[in-house]
Amino acid sequence: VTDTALELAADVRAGRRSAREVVDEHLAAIDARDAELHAFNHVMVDGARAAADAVDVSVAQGDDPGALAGVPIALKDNLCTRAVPTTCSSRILDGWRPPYTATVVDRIAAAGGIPIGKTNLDEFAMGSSTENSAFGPTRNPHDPTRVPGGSSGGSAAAVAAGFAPLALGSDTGGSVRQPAALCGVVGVKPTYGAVSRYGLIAFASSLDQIGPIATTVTDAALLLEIVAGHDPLDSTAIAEPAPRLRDVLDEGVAGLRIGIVEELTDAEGIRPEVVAAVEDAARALEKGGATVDRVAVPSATYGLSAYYLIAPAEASSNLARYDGVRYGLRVEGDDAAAMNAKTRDAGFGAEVKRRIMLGTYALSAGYYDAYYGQAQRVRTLIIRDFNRAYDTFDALVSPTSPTTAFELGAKTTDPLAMYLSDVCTIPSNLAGHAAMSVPYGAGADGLPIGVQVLAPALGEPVMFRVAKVIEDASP
Amino acid sequence: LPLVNVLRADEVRPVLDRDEVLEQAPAAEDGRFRVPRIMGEAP
Repeated sequence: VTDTALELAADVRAGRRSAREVVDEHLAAIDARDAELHAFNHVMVDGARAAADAVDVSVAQGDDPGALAGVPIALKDNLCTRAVPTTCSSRILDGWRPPYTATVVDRIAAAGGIPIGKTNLDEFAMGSSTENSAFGPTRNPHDPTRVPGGSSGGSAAAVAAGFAPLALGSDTGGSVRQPAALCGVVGVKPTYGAVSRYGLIAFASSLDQIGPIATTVTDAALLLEIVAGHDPLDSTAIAEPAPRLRDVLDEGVAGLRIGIVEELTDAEGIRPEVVAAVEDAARALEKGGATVDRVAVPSATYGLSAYYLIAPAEASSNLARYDGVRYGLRVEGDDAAAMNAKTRDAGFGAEVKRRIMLGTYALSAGYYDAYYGQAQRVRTLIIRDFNRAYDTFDALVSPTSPTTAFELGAKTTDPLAMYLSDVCTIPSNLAGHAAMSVPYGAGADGLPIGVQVLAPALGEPVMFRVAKVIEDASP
Repeated sequence: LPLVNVLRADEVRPVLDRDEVLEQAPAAEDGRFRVPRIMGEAP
């Protein structure tokens, strides 16, 4: 199915198509191909049909069901959905049915959107290829021998395969943008605090942010407008209403100052064809009336190192809650400590254990300041350097991923090679500003390339204007 | 430095349903989570 969310919602609201028909079409697409791709851990067949019927009833009564009327939306399986399985692609949560629903999912439903299923991810969002899922990898719809990226690989693959025009993912170090780039779709990491995280299962709380995945920049703007805005249930949600994005999308880039981030473009390991795509997109921005220059963000070079101390440190604390007591798996032991240890040994996969151990070590007495403290100081430098760049530039561009989609198994035995997939995306999570990936042509292998657009905190309106011009210029 | 407390009204708000929560626990008893022995006392 290739209709955009905007088209589908317009048709459903006008009574030209029923929501039920739209949902059934997408369920048929899932049925036809998801056995091969494994984008979904769980398809909400009955729930989606019931929600669609409710939308149709409301249209028949002359009511407006909302801006997402009848639009199927895939949800990353770390977003809580009441009474619907939510696993984080981990054995430790297999079979769990949350007693509450994430704010973003409630907002989608309130706007007439139809949650259609829970998508596969790297276990607890730790990974860049969706191969760390306890339930098996997702495959890239453009070439099933390749990974979809990760950790929101299921959401990106679902949108790229036409299973749903929209999806939500979560981005801690690039987990929305990198799979969006590898699957040839749009992926957004909003400003830290722009979207409520109530009901997002925490990985690294100072970095996690929920963001939309879509086939077009306009659709991504539509979904972000719905899910963003303050939520009393998340104290880190900024006390601001959702930004108006679609109103400004066509304002163009005339007069804007755009910087190409040198450290994220000239770095070792970034394929020349990816750099060429960024430079080509920058020329399109120039043609649109922007001025383009190169800009240095020197400390961005240390982003990866700082991230792999801060994120595991926070994860080791967040994942302490999986203790076999309140939910999920329990493996019995002689006493509580033995039960905890056996449960966690059986329930967590290798990458999750690796990061819990790294984080526990980084936070241990005597090493705390040398590792975690030092990483936080680097983070402050990264924020400072980006703020300096934003003194001179309205928005920045860089590659999203150093390469196009790689083959399944290519990096599974080398965690460091896998971590390098996120070298261009991680600095934005550390800085807390807004960033997104826009598809821009293909590599020599025929697979999609993504260009990243970065903007200051709460700079989503300017970021989307830049993204729209890049999208329109994409070969 | 002017400091302002950020307080909300003390009002009743929805909470999670206890039975629904306990239904998801590996073991529950008498409206509580059941856990193995924690201290060294006799079972």
